[in-house]
Amino acid sequence: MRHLSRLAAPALLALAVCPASAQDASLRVGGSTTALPIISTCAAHFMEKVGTWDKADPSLGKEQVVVYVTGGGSGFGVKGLMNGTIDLGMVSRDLKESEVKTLNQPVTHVFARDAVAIATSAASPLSRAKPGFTTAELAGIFSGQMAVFSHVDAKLPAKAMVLLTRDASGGVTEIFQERVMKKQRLSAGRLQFPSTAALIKKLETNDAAIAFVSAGAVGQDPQLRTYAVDGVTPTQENIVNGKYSLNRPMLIVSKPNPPRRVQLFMDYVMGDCQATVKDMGFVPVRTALDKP
Amino acid sequence: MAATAQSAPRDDTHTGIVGLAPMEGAALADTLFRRATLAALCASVALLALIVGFIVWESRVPPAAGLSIADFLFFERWDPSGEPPQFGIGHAWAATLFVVGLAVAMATPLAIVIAIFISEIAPPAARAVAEPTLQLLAGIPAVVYGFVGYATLVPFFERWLPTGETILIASIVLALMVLPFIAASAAEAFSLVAGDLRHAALALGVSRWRAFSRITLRKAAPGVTAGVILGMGRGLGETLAVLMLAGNSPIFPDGLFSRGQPLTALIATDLGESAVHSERYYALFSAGLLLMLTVIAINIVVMHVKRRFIGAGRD
Repeated sequence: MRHLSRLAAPALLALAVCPASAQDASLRVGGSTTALPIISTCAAHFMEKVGTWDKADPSLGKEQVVVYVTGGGSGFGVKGLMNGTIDLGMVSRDLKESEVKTLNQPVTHVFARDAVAIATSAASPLSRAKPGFTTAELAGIFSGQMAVFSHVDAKLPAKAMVLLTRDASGGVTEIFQERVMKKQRLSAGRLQFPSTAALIKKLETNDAAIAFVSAGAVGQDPQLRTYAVDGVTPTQENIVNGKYSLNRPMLIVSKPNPPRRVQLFMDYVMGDCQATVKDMGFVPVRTALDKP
Repeated sequence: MAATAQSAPRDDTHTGIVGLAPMEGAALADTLFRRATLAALCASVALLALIVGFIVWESRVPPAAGLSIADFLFFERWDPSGEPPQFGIGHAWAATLFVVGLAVAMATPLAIVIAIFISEIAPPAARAVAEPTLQLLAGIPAVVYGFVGYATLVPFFERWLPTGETILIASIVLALMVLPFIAASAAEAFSLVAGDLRHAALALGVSRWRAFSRITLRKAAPGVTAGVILGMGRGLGETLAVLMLAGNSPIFPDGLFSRGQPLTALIATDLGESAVHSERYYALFSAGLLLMLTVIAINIVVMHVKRRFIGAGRD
């Protein structure tokens, strides 16, 4: 979806820009399609909750709050911000130095983390044998070079492991390829799932399966267990402070000195919206809001 | 009496005048209706042409620089997010042919037996149940077949295999999906065989089986073949069930218990992630083009066979 949404972006933007010129009270947000579902849900809640701008801040006019959220990819989140197409950019990676320079000290907030957990069913042979994996082991397993359990640990049976992955549209695949596989290729024998939910269902029922999957989605599922990577367990703390390496930040970015309306929405994303972040299977950055 | 006699012609002229107006109205409605149906036909044909044109326009064979046609079609792996990216669709062709071939091979004998029952053996009451049942089977959405297979066959086979998702299971479910099409075509072909031939045979004291196998089956063979080819065409285009049941693994299938990713599943899985006019996008559109050409070719063969069959039936 990440790239196809480029098709949709101009059409949506045309929609977004027209009313925006009529009344300047609307906000335009665009960028990463990984962040899109979170931010568009937050935007809907925000519009519902606030209603008119004067209720959020009495200094503002009595116009209806309208937030348009479009995809376009992380690159568009930065470019659109530069050329003024959007007021807020969604970016699911760190900003490049050149981008920070062009935007001239942008206001950036990490509002969520997208992390990859290595998971199996609780009854998997690996569950008893291994507390975690090294990056090299993971590359061996997911490239298909270590195809049976005994390749991972000699005590385990010589039974084939089943590799589960999201299809290419999952952001986790990008992180995993970049941080773990590097130049190696994912095994062609992997099963690809169209949704994380379908993958987890399979993982719960197949004890021979191993998967890398969005950390937020595995959560507290008692039928599954997650593994440490290079000795670091994927706890929320380790993910947020960056010790757990298989993760990327999700940013919301504005130009320096954002207008009041932009600031209000950013505050909302960093505040009440954190519950939505968690609901959508991502890792919220605010621990205090962990318990609703 | 006189009054009624007088009023009668007046009534006639009256109805005549009134009758004229509806006739003009009817002519207008006729013209409008004719134009509207023509417009609808033109629009749908144009739409079809645009779709085909768009797929041809967006395809590049081979899709990437430095990739030969043979590599694209047969030898290269599919790994668009690897480094460097690879765009071979051979594994998907192999999976498609494997799954569809196996499905048709499983469905055809069963379909012919069903067709024989419907057209030759079934009493009218049984026929009245069997025919609509077949039509209902044909109308069940693919996702339901896929889901039922996923919930029953996959766990069942997982008792023995690492994963239940295999070429075999995809073929079994696809066989159920194409069965109604083959059976309906075959039953139609059998019932189209001229009755006098069969009656003459039966009158000569030939057994029912002999009359069927020597006359009906031979006469109907092209029609049955058309049904089989039609079923193949349906199977080639099927996406959802094979995506769910074959494992969606971009691997070259090497046996019944291997996983695979048929062409339709490959396109459905990867298109969403392809940047417009990227090599991956061209590769997927080219895969779609090849699939479309195959299905069109199959339909042309079906039409040809049917025409010959109907021609032969009239002799």
